[in-house]
Amino acid sequence: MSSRESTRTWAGMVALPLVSALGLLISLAPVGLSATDMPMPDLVYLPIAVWLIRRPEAAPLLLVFAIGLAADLLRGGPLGIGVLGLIGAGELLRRMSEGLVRGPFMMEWLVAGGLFIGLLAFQCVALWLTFSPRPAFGLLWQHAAGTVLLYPLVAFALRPLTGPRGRASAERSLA
Amino acid sequence: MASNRETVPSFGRTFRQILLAVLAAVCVALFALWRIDSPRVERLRMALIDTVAPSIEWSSTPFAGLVRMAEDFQSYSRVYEQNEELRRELQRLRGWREAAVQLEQENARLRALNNVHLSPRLAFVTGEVVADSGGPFLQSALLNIGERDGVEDGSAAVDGLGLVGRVSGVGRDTARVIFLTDANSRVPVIVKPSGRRAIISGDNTDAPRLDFLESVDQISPGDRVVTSGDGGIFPPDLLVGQVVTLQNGTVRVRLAADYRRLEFLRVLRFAPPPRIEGPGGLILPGGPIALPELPDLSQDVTQ
Repeated sequence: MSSRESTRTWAGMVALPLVSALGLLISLAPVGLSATDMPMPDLVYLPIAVWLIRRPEAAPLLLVFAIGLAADLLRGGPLGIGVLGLIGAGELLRRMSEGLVRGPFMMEWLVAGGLFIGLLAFQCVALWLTFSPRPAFGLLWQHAAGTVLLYPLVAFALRPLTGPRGRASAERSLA
Repeated sequence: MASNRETVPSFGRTFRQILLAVLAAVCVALFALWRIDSPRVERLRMALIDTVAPSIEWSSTPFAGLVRMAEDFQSYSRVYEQNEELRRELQRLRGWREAAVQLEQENARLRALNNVHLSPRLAFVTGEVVADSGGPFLQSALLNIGERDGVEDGSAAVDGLGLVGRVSGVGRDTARVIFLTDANSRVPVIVKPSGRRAIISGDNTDAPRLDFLESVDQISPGDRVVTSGDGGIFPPDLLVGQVVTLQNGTVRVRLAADYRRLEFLRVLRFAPPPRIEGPGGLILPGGPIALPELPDLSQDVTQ
């Protein structure tokens, strides 16, 4: 790995927690406290998904785990299953990243969105199996829809940090 | 050489798989600890929140302000209608105020006649809502007051209109309030005027259910629901809301608290009246009855 690549990787590893922290703090803003208000999209999953697809080398497993754990702790909901689902979905994205950056953007969006819905379903099943109260289906659906719809916007906004898809694809080809 | 090159990625993959398994085990252990309501989990959570609370306030306040500005802008567009509506409401409320003052005076007179022992006065501390849970799994808010301000776990939180929820998790400078609408929330209540007792159970809707209601015969829409004080956690007679019945017979409560405008919450510091646990030394078990000493009246008689 050249020194320039190494610097880029380190810069990515510093930027990911900062972007995720910003996303987490925004999602914690006290807006829409009523039970039927639309919940905020998951602004922690989105940057991690973009990173894992375009810059997987800058999103090591331990870093993803630390960010997910901090999010679980700060949000106050079930502890452990959110981060477990995140590292599970993250590892799948990491494995598929090479194919995703070479394929059309729609495929990337579909896979990232599908895995997020799977992550939510996994949490609900875990809560059901342990007889814990589960969130309302309507809220989950809104949360999932908001997150999936926001993916292209977040991916576009993070382009200066992750680089365009073309560059990621070219780097994989060279490697 | 080729085999060496293959060994390094293979080692890396094995290491990654072991690390993944270890982290998954940690996650499962954390989930189990959370599920059994381990106080350590809550302490860890509140310690982290205490650490990042200034950042939360710093970042979420402008964002929340922007959203509120947008909402306010929408309401400005129909300011004339609102003004008319408010004038009518003000007129109605003036009448109510007069009635309330008269009732208060009458109440004071009756209490004086009856020598009523009043319940201990409630003290409260007001905090600002600095964050919510940010997801669909919990209906809660984070306040910028904590142990340092005398907030205790389980205390009731109210806005200007009614009960909002209870404190669940207290840090040094922060406290989390679980709303009545959350699926984990259960609060004992009384429906007035029938006096029926029930439990108000949150189910992630705006109107929580009334569970364990003996019978719905004497209950009608519009009845007031207040806390019963059972369990000694919440003070009695805090307004919760009004009864609404649905077509399928389910009894729900329209909450009095305005969850859409929660900016400040009052956390009540309630000390329940002391319980009388024994005879207090007057009646000894198996022994003679201990009578109080009578004054010696003989001297008064002789004089």
